Amino acid sequence: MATTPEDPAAAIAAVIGLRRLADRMEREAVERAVDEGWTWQQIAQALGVTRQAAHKRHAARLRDRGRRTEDNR
Amino acid sequence: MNPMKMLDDMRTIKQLLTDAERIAREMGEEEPGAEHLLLSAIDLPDGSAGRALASMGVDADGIRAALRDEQADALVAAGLPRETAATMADPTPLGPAGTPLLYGAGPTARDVFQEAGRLARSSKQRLAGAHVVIAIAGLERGTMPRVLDRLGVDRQQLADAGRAELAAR
Repeated sequence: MATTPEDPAAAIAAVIGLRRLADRMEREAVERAVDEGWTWQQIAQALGVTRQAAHKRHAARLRDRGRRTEDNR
Repeated sequence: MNPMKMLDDMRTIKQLLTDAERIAREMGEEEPGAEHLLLSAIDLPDGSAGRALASMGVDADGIRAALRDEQADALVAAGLPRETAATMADPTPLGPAGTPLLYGAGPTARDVFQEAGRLARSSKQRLAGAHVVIAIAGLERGTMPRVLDRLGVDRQQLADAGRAELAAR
């Protein structure tokens, strides 16, 4: 890995870039997990967040896509 | 307050925020940022944002390309190989939001929106795209100023171009 850029503006821009990428990877991974039948409890555990947090972050989007996201499978 | 102006402004605000939200999602972002507000302002029927930017040699496609470059370079700076970074910087659309959102704009987009409204009120003008352009030009840090730098746009000159558009209305 490269070291953090010395210029704080460049370093923060790198953080923003990584955050965007991480958000995108999280969305895609959670979608696949739901498709494979993971429960929200399992997804939350894997992400290291509460079940409520995982649900809040992802459930509405997945519902909008017409996927099956029943809470307690 | 002139009721016609108020009605006009409400229509402008609705379009500005709804489109910013749609553009953000098309670009794979859940929360509109200042850049999405600017792209939305360019699409407003008054046309002043697009003209102000055009006078600086910039259009919506150029801004979108610079945003992609900014994201790719950020990932390279973070240590990703250039080729991977370029692929990862390609936006993946999120699809339309099915649930009505209460304009969940990010804090910078909120600041820009509020500043644009304040500028319009203080000059007793109808809210126009150029107000958003001036507010964007006032940002000192973050994605938008970096993207303007990339495009070779001086922020002071951009603000002047925005004000010239408003004066010509």
